[in-house]
Amino acid sequence: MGAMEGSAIAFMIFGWGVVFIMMAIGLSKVFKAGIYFEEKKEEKQ
Amino acid sequence: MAPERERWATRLGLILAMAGNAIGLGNFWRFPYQLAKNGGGAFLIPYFIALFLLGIPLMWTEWTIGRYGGQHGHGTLGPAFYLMSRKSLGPTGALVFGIIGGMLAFAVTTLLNSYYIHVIGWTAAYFGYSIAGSYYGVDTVKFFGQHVSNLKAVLLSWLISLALLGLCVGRGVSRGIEKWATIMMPILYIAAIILVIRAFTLGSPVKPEWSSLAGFNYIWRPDFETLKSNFFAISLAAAGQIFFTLSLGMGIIQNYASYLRPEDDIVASGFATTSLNEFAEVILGGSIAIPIAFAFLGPKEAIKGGVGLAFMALPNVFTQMGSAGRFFGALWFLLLWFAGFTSAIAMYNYLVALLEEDLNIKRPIGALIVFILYFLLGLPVALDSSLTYLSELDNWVGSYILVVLGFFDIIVGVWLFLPKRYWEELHKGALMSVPKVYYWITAVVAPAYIAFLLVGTTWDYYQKGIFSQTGTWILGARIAIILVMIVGAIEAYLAIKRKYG
Repeated sequence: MGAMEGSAIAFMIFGWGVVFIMMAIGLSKVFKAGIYFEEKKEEKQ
Repeated sequence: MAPERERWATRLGLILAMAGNAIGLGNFWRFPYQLAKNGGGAFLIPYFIALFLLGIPLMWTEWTIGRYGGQHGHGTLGPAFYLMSRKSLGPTGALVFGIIGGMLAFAVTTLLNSYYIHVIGWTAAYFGYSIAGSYYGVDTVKFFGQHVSNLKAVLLSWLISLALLGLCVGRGVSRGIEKWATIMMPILYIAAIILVIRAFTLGSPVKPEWSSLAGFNYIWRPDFETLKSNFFAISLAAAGQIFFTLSLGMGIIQNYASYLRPEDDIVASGFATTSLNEFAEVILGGSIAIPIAFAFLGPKEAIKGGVGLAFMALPNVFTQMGSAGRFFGALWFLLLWFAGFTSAIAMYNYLVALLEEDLNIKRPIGALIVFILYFLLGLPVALDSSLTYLSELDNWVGSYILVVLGFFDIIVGVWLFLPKRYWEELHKGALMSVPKVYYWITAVVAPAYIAFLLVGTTWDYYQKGIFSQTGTWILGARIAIILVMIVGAIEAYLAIKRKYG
């Protein structure tokens, strides 16, 4: 008793994986553009 | 030409403020008890489906509505809905949709926050009780009842939280909301991570068969049998949780997005906000309350903990931890307070923006007026220790009106604005492109999902007899909802008429 079943471990890896991939995609795009909004404007100019 | 509006100073600040907006009591309090109540792993299957088919598209729609409204000087939904509806409707038709949007958002931000700030006040009080060990050695269910009946304690913790909200919002978007979020959100994440590590390392402190890993097993075992036998109820609960956790259908995502510049990205920012919220919910929120309760109270007590999990069941756990429990108890309630506070800021700011933009009232004065409004609307919550008034407000405002508003978000922001124009508007200044399949998911699947949620909730209320309930506090809550909606409708009408004739 008390241990996790294989299917639970697999689903947990899937669920956590989905969230981490979402974070990696979203945050990397945002921070690649720079912390400050002005940076984007300067780049354009 | 729209008047110059306040803007977010940094992208990091925007993301943290938006994440703070979305991350609330729903992540750490509502999510665990919904999980427990709906079969753990059986709940997570429709939850992930709802996240991708309902949550993410609606999040992008609300960011789009917000940024579009902000370009025209509007941070509130009435005028923003009016302008978007005008793309396919005449002035009268657009006015109707503007009034509906303004009325619903006004009702949610006033009434939902009027009791939400009380719950935040409870967490503040319990933070103090944890440090002092006040609930040690007593019946925690009775202790909670005593707390909500203790008017002095309720008023004190409520008014402190309310005053701090007023102080933060009164300082403005970048100097107040953004700065506070930049400090509070990292602390929130750190506190949650400490509690998650504790949950993983608990072992079996009471009985060999009770362990936190058994809790994780319950949460993550993909239980298709339970899902099959109770498919509609569990799917409905999962879709409702997605609405609540992402702060959708409240008007507050749109309000924060209105402080963006016309060419600022909303696709990646909206996606990043959603991902941070899901990190706080699925990974952190899902790994604290239930596993800890499994280890100390056993599976039966942990699963039936329900809404009382945070304030009644977990204090029992902290008591059993001995003196370390004071630290972990305080950390848990501080986490809840931060989570609730950063969401309440957004609802508070919606009303301040309304006074600022529609009535030209300066922000600090507006913050004071909203403080008085919340004080008056929150008094019945403080006086009713049976919590009937609060529950009735939550039944309608916190679980129903926001779904209706979400439905109108899609009708106005996508269909009346025209789907192609919506897609172009969404991609203006985008740092990433949205897969084309989301064009159809947003326009067709998401509104169908919301319609399913609305019909299901109505049926559920009918079966539970919520429509026919009577009593003084229930009647009072219903009168308050009707009055606030009338005021919201009049305000939206006047705001649209004054600006657009």
